[in-house]
Amino acid sequence: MGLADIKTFENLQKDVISVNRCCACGACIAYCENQAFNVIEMDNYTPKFKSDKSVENCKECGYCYYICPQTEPLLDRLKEAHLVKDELGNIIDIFAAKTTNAKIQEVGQDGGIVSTILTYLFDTNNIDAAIVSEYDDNFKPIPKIIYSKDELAKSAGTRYSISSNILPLKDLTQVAEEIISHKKRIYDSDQLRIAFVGTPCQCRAISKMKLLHIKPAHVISVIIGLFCFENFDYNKLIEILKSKTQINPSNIKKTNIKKNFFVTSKEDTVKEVSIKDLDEAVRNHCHECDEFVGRFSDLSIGASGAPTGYSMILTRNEKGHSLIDSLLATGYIERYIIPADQISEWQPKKINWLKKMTSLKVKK
Amino acid sequence: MVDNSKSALIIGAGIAGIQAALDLGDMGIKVHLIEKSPVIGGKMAQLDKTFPTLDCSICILAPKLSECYRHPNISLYTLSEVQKIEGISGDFTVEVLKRARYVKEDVCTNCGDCATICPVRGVPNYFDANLKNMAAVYIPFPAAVPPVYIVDKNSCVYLNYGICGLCATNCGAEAIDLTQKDEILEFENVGCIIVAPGYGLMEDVNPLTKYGYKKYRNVVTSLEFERLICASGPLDGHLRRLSDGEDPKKIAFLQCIGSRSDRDQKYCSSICCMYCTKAAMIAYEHNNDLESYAFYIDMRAGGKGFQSFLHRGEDEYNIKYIKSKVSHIDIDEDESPIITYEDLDTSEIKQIKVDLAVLATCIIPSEGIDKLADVLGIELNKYNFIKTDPFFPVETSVEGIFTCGCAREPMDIPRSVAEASGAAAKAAEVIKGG
Repeated sequence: MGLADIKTFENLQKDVISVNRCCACGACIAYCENQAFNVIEMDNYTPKFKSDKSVENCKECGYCYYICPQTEPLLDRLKEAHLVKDELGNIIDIFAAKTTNAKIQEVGQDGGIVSTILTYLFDTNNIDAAIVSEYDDNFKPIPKIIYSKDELAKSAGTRYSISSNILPLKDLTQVAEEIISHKKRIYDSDQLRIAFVGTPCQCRAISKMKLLHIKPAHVISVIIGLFCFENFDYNKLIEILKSKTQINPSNIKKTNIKKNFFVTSKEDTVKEVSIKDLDEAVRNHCHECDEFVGRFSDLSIGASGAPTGYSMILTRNEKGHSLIDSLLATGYIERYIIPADQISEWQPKKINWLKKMTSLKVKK
Repeated sequence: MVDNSKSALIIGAGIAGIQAALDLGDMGIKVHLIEKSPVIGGKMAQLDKTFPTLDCSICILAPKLSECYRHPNISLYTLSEVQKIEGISGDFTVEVLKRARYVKEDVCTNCGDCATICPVRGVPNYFDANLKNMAAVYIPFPAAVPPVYIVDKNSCVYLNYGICGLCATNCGAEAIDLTQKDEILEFENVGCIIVAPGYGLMEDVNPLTKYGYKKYRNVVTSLEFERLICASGPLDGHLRRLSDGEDPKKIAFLQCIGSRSDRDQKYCSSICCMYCTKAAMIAYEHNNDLESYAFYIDMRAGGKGFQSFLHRGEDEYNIKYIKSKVSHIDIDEDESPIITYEDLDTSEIKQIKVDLAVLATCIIPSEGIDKLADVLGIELNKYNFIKTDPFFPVETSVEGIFTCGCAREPMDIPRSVAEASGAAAKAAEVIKGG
C-alpha cells in the first residue's frame, strides 16, 4: 500500500453515500472537523462537501473512507482485534438483568440497563460525559452529550429512527469546556472520558477509529452496543405515522414495537400501525447490514430474547465484563435467576435465538 | 579517516553517561554516545527538583544536554543499541543498531506541525509516566535533546495500515521520511567503553498491587508524583488527585516499596528516604496547608547535608515521620486511601486517611541489562547490577570496560556524576596511555 492508493471522500461518495449505503453515523465528519480541515458537513443525514472549494481543500488523508462502518478495508483487522469469528462475535458471558433503580424502571425500556450503567459510571466518576440520543419537540431523535446522570431520564427508551450519535464528537473543545464548567477534573481535551451508546453500525465506526487510535474516538472510554434490527428514515416514518394515525409528530409521547408498531399520543390514545406498512421507511443501509447484536463493542444490550422486564447483556471483553461485574456487586443491577430446570439449556437457547434474529435480519 | 586516534564509546546518555562524555570530550577524546531512547537526559530530565538543595532538575541538566549535543568531540546516536563487540581493551570494534526515527535529524526544525496534524491520540507518553497522551509523532518534552520529533512505530497509521501520511505533507521542512529503515553502524578503533545504562523502574506491579497501585486512582508511584507536580508535567504543575481533580490536603509517602524485603528486592534503594522528603517539600511549597506523612522503616540520610534536610522537613514543611510497617491500603467512598500500619514506636495497629498515597518504588536494574551484559561479556552481581570491586568501583570484569551510576548500584545524582568523572578518567588513561 502506498500513498497513491489512498481512498478519499470522493471514493466514499461513490462507494457508500451515492448508493444509499450511508448509515449517517457522522464518523467521517466528526473526524474531519476534529482535524479542523473544514471540508465536509452533514446535510439531512447525508455527508457532503461543504462547497465546491472544499473539494480542493480536502487533504485526501483517507481516514473518512477507512473509518466508515460501511467500507471493507479495515474490517478484517477489526474482526481480529475484537475476536469476531461469527455473526454474534466474541461473548464472555450472556445473561439477563434489570435495574434496581425505581426511577429508571419507570422511564426506561425493558431492563433499563443502559441508563443504569451510565448512572454507575457517573456516580463512580469514571466518565465525564456520555453520548446518547433524545427526542426533540417533533419526535425526531437527536444525538446529545450529557454531563451528569440527572440528564439521563430524557434519553431512556428506544429510538426507531436514526440519530447520528458520532456527530457531537466533532467539537471536542466545546465538549471539554462544557465539562470543565460542570467539574474541574480535566487536564485537556485529550483526557476526556466519554461513554458511547449506539447501534451496531455506529459502534463499528467508533471501533474502527479506536483501532487506529485516532481522534475523536480516543475520548471514548466505553462502547455500549444496542441490538438493532433495522432503523427507519425519520421523514418517511413520520409521514406514514401521520397518515395512518393522524397523530402529529409533536404530539407523540412514545412509540414501541410489540409485533406491530404502537404510537401513544400525549393524550394517551394508543394507535396501532402494521409493521409491514413501515417497510418502505426502513433505511436502505439496514437491508445490507449483517449485525444484529453489535459485535464491536465492550457490551451489547437489548431486549430481544430477555424475559419480560429484563434486558439481555452480552459482555464482549475484559473491560465490559468487569464493568458489569461491579454493577452486579454494588447492586445497581440484578441478574435474572434462571429457573433450576432450565440452567443447562438457557444460554445455548438464547444464543440460538440471537443467531435466528440475525439471520432473519440478513434475509430481510 | 585523517583522525585515526582511539575513541571512547559510552552506552547510556543519562546524567552519568553525559558527564563522562563531556569529561572525555573536553580532554580531546572522540566520544560515541549511544542512547536507547529517542532523547537524552535519562531519569533526571523527568524530575522536578533535586535533593538536598531543591534545585530545578532540568535547569541543571539542560545546559549539559545541549553542550553534549553541540560538542565537537561527541557524536550522539539516539534510538541506538550496542549489538556486538569484538577486540580487546585499547582496540574494540563495536556494532550498533540504530533504529529508524522516521524524521531526518538534520532537517527537523522542531516546530511541531507534524504532531498538530497527526490524528492519532492516546499514545501514552513514557516521559510523563504515561499520564499524558500524545500523537504518533511526538517529542517527549519541550526541551528535549536532540530537538527532533520521532514517529512512534507502533501507533503510526501509515506504518501499520498504509493510510495517512499527513505529517509528511504538512511538514514545511520536508523532514518526515516514513521509508527510513533501521541501520547497522560499525565503530572501529574504540579504545574503551563506559557502560552507564542507569536503572529501571518497577514495571512488575506485583509488590505494588498490595498497596492498590493501578487499582486505586489516588495511589501513585514516586516518579508519577514527580511528573504530576512538575510545571512541565501533565497537570502543568498544579497538583491534583487523579480521581476527582481535588487538591490533596494530606499526602502519605510509603517508603521501601519493593526494597529491603525478603519477598522482593533485598537491597536498600538508597535514594527513597531523601526523595520522599524532597517531594513532600515541593508539595508543601505548592500548598502551605499540606500535611505529609512519611512511613519509614529506618531513615537513611547518609550524605552531605542530608540529615539537616530531614530536620528542615520536619520543622518547616509539616512532614510527620512515622516509624512503621504499612500493611495495606484500602479506599473510602471518595477513593481516599486509608492506610493501615503498625506504629513501631507504640506497637499499635493504626489507620490514617489521606488524600493521596505515593509509593516510593525502588531502583531496579535497567531493562535489558542481561542482554547488554551478554553482548559485552561483563559480569552482573546477584541482583543483576553490574559487578564491581569495592576498591575499583568503576571497573567491570572486562578490561577496558568501565561503568558508573545506577547501573552498578542504586545511588543519587551527585554520586553518579562523581563516578562518571572517575570512569572518564580511567577511560582516558587507557586511550591516552595506549
